[in-house]
Amino acid sequence: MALCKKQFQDFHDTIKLKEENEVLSSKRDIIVKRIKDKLPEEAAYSFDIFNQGSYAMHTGIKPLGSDYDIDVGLYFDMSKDDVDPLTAKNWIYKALDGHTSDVKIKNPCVTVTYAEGYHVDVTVYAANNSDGKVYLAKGKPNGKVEDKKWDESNPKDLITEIREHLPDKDDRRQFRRIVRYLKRWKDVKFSSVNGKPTGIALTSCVYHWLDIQKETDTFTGKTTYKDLEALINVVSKIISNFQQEYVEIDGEYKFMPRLKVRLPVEPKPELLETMTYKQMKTFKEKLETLLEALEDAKAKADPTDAAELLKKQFGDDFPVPEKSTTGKKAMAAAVISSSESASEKG
Amino acid sequence: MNIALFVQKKEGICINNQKELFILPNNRILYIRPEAIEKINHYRQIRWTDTEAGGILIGRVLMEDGNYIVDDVTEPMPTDKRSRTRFSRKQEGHQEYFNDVWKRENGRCFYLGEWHTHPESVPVPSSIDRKDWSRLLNLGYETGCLFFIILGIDELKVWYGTEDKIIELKRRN
Repeated sequence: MALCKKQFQDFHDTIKLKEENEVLSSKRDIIVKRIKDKLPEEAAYSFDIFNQGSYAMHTGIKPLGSDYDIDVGLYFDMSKDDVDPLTAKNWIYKALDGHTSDVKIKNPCVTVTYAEGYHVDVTVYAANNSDGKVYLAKGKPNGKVEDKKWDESNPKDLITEIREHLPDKDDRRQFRRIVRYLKRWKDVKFSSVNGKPTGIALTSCVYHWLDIQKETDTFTGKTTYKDLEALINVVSKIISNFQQEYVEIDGEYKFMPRLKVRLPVEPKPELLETMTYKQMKTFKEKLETLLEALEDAKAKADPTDAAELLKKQFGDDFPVPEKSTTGKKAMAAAVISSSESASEKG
Repeated sequence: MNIALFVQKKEGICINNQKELFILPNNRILYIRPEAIEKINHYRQIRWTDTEAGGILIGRVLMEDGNYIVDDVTEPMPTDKRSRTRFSRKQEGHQEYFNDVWKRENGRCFYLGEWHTHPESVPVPSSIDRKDWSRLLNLGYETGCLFFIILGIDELKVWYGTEDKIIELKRRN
């Protein structure tokens, strides 16, 4: 019964990353300028810069703390056969080293962290290959040899695929809202960095499994999007996509659940493979708790009661309306009549 | 002591096992909040000496779906006349109570109907009840419909009245 339409709307307005604020975009400009100025001479290839990440896909949310991230992609006009991936990442590292006190080569990127909390991830691509594909430079100096490689990756295709998912623009809006709700749920419910599904993994789940939930009034022709229903739909589907695998955990064999979800674009890597079985189990349990709360909220007649339940899942940014604000306004105070009642025959 | 236990048990049954959700012919919902139910339950005519009680229903019409919620009820006021089988509610006290709520909620509340008790297991509206309900419906309240709750000894039932008819509501499962 309860839809909490207004509450979901307000929640979405609160968590949505509308546009990058000036501080972040100026940080990006500074980083890009520094790379251009300080790129070592051996990096004799030109490059294009593009904004990647969830903001570009229109699925960005505000972080819970101040841990904003800025994603910068660099498309180098070079072939993966001509340059070692770690060498390419080292060019960027050298250009940025000393910019803040915390510059690190991480497995998929070079990260510059600012004392204020936010960070910039710079990724390096080889974009001029004989096979026409784009490759991402992976690996870190002390990492495993097999991790130091060029990985096929199509961030621009991914951005387009996610941004243009679903032909109807209102359906697409519901898709984006559902992604944002689940990403915020993840930030609220998974406290540690480890064992947390990534934003892009959740985005891909919604991409593959959400059936848009809307209802058109036959009289007025007005379409209402039911986000609570949509969440119930997609969370149920995610849960039913877990498979039981027979594996050894702490010396004994047992069935453990595992979810697999693929990136929507080539080469469609599986996005949850780094999660351990124990982390998977926790993930599934949290999804089940979420589903139960969503169903309970839907069964509530009073939107205030429903919102209380939803707030426990989505965090303090989910608004709980004062009871009176959920009701229509009366034109005038009713004039109360007297009344007569009886249980005897009148 | 025994009676007190008995009373408690009865109340427990009502609050826990009956979801106070009723379905209207137009598929809208009436929800009676536990706070309101609790107030009404207090007047269940369990003892031989218990007299009929009643009051008005105050609540919301939801913006998102037009469903009805009874948030609060008034209780018998000093000028009301109560006997074993009759309840005569006056305007005094009930109007003031309603006005206070109306002010506090900035006009986002409505008079939604009436409640009263019957000293019978399963309540059946008397001819006096029905006649008075029709009279109230003819006064033309803003919501265009009214709800009438009767609390019997074992059961609470709700009738729904519009201009042309009064029907008993079914609970929503």
